[in-house]
Amino acid sequence: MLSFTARRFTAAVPALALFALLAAVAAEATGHGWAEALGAMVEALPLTVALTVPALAMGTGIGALLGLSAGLRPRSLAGWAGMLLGGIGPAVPAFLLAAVFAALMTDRSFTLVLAWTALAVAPAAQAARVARQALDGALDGNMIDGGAIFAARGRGLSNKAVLWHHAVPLGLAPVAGGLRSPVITVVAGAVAVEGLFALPGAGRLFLETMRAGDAGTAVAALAGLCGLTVLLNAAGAVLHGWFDPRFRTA
Amino acid sequence: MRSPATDTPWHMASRRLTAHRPAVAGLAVLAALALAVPAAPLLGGGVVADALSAGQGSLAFALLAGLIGGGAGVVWGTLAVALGQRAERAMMSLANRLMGLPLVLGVLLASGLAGRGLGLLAGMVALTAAPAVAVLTQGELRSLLRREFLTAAQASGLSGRAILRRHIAPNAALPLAAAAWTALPRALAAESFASLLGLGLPDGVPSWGGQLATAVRLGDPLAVAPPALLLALSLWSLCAIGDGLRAAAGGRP
Amino acid sequence: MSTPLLEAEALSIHTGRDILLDRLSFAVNPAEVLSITGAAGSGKTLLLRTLAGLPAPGAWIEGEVRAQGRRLLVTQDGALTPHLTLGAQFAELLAHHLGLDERAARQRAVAALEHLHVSAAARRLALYPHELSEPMRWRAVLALALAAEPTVLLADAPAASLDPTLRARLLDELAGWARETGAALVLSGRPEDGVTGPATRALNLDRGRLTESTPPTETAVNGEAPPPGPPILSVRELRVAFPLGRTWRGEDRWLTVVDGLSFGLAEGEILTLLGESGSGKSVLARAVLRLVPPAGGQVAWMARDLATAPPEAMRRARRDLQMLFPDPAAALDPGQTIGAQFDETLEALRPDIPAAGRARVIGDTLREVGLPDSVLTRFPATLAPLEAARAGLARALLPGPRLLVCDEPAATLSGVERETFLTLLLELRRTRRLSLLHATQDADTGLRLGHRALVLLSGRVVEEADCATLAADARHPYSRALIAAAEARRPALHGDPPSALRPPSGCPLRLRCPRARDYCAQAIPPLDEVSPGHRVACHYWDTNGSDAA
Repeated sequence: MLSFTARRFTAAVPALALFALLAAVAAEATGHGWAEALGAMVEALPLTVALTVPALAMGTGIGALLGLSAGLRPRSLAGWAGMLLGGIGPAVPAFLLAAVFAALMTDRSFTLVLAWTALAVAPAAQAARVARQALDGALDGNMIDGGAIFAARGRGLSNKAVLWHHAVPLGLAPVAGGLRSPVITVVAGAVAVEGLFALPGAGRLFLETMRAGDAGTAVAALAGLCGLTVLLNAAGAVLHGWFDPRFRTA
Repeated sequence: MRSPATDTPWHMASRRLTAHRPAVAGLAVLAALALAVPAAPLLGGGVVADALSAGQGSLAFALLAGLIGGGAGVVWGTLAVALGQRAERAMMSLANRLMGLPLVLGVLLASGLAGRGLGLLAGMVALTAAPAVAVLTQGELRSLLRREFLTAAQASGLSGRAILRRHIAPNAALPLAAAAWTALPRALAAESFASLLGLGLPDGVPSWGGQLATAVRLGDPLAVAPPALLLALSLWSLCAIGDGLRAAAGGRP
Repeated sequence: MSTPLLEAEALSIHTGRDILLDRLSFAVNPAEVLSITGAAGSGKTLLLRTLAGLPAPGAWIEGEVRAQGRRLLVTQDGALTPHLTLGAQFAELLAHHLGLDERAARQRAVAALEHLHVSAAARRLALYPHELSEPMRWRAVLALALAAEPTVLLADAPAASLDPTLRARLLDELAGWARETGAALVLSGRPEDGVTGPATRALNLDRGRLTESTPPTETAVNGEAPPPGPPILSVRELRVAFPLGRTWRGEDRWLTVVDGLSFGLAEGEILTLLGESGSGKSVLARAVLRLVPPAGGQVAWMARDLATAPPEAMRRARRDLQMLFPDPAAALDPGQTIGAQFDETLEALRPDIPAAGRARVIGDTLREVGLPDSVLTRFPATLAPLEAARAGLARALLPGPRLLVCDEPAATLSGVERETFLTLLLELRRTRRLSLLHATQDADTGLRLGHRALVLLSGRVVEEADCATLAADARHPYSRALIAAAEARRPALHGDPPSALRPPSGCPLRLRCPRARDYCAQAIPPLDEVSPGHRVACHYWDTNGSDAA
């Protein structure tokens, strides 16, 4: 597992180096020093990380739980919530929620909470959908992952053990495996959130400098955002490997 | 017992599509929008009518860019399969890498630096959708090419060209259409995203993203609601129909 | 007489609309092995689920199931939980059922795996399910069930995906365990799956009702003497290999599937290709028809080499050479009616028949295979398995072939349907005077139908003889194992087939062979003539060992 983690993050290094190089070249070409452009990006990036990572983690976590309930206990309240959340997913991209929140926002005391909420809904919906599909009817013998869950019941394990040791990890593995699209949604959404909520992160830096015609810094900010995406994807892959050993050898 | 005439694969596929309830709802919503949006000027003024007429720009653009992107993705995936193992590996690895990046920010960069031209925007938006379509296309074609009835057709003395025309193309049509369809919601979302941030469609062209941007600038919650709801409905419908198409295509044994 | 461990009394299951199981009553005593056979869809899985106390949702159950002690169900596909190591799955199960701690569970796990002849059992406990080969995974699944010491073990189509040679041995070991420990064992499966072999009592489930099992009364048998004559098809040194990419040194790596094979086939002869899966029989069948490109050698039809034949000549040859596929429904285009595909075949292969005359040819052929004309307007997805098999046969017969290459032609059929189809195939062969090349892993069918047989292992012939000779006096341990498995006896081969990517040196069987000696690792045995027409590739074929396991 440790070597898998190392491999996954090392695989991201060439892409990161490429982005840094592109940013430096663009900054030099437009007359800025590369150090200045990258410096501005590095200064702005922590806020973007603070927006994206918690939103991604909370959204995926809550969505996955609701989706698991929908797959295993479709008639419970959480099951209904999971089905609803998974169903409306495509209708609520982060930028749309950000726009609605920005128009509704009267004072700035809840900015961060609203920003996180706007970003977290899309990953939650995706996770709910995937987790539900992964486990739909698995306890009743549907052929989920080769019928592994029903096979565990056939061996006479208690319902609780089957649920927590077999079904839940099997439902979470595809959620972790499908993290790539929520990562992109959240990073792109963060640009909209920062732009609309006037939060000084890398996304806002990207928008502002581009509107000002400062291509050098804009490319540097974009490189930072792409780098963040690549790192988050690597983290998602590690999580996938943690839940599913088959993915570790791939 | 049904008569054989209603058991054609197309009938069965459309039965599977209509059995997919979200897809039916999505079709109904899109049909309603297709009627309401051109009729919007007749409704007179008001926020709802404005939002509906802004849908013209958004939906027409999504259709244009989605078709380009979907077509490009299908060509990309098909070429990868056709050009041999090494080209396939290179082309699909490129598509996979691009899928892992926030390509929609490239749309912003292009219109921020090169100005907000319709053609450039369409091209960039199409590019955000194409890699995902390419990956789906390649997967569908690979699994189709493994199927035994193609070997049987060869044993029946058909030439490679006849097999392509009579067996591969008809069986690939629906799965590839389902793959290409995914470009439409992507294109709509990418354009709305760019227009919301003031980097999308040119100023003269009304769009839901542009209306949202105006409403946010004015801080007007009432003006936000109609374009936001219409955009949400359209995105949901397009995705639901895409799921339905996949179900319809995937049901073939 | 001891009290039964498992008892069903007037057990019925219905869905409100259909009756799925109809008043079943039976009992299984300690140390008894009951087999329940039935075709696909006869309700075996439903019955076993209900016996295990895990009924399917939406099914109404009447009557009674009484069981004593611990009941375990091994489900149809033998799934293991993918994210847990084998050791973790043993530990969890044994802690739950027997209250064992991790160390004790480990010991018991190793013992159970060794009982099923898993080598290096302790090391395998660290593996995840996906790291096990298919036979090894089945051993692990069954060992998991044995280790929990059930009093009633229900196994639904156990090891059905394995080769008969491996399956027969595994089932025998399972039955042995039941007799030793006094547990009740219920095995279910299709009649061809060999579950009746180790059973003390056999029941048959047919459309929801149980009957005492009887072997099918009518079996297809080829009673004719082999026709003499010069070969019309002759295969010389045929080689098929697939590229595996390059090594780090830049050398191409190849997976050789058919390795320098030669044989001839006379007019009207039925030649059986017998072998386990992976022996190359299916690829050989396809290479003869040039559906797989050969890497070397020659396939001559009527003294004309097909490997170098130009497209037009190849098309003319395809009129004579037709194929039956293992899954006939999958070999038909799902998007076209049967009629359209028949028409297409005739159009491509018989340009001499005018378009107006095709309908008559198609109609005649349909009557020969026993299908109504209405099938022409139907789509493949609507055909039942037997109908699909008949349709596949009709398509192959349309151009008027002289040789049928059959690759497991009855693989999708079971029981009576299977025999019906094979009888039809033999009948048509006789009336149309066809030659047959019949690839199968089932020695029973292969030897019943054929005149002569080639036994294939790792892409080579290891034994060649008349079918009658082979059935009575097979000399190669591999042939003997195939025949034993088909008769539901315990085959003498041990272990699993080696990976095709890393074949052993010398004789390809030596790692599994009961007769293997040091010399077997050094040289590949040549085909020696034992008696006229009977050749064997084994260094020790004359060692009259008992082949005991």
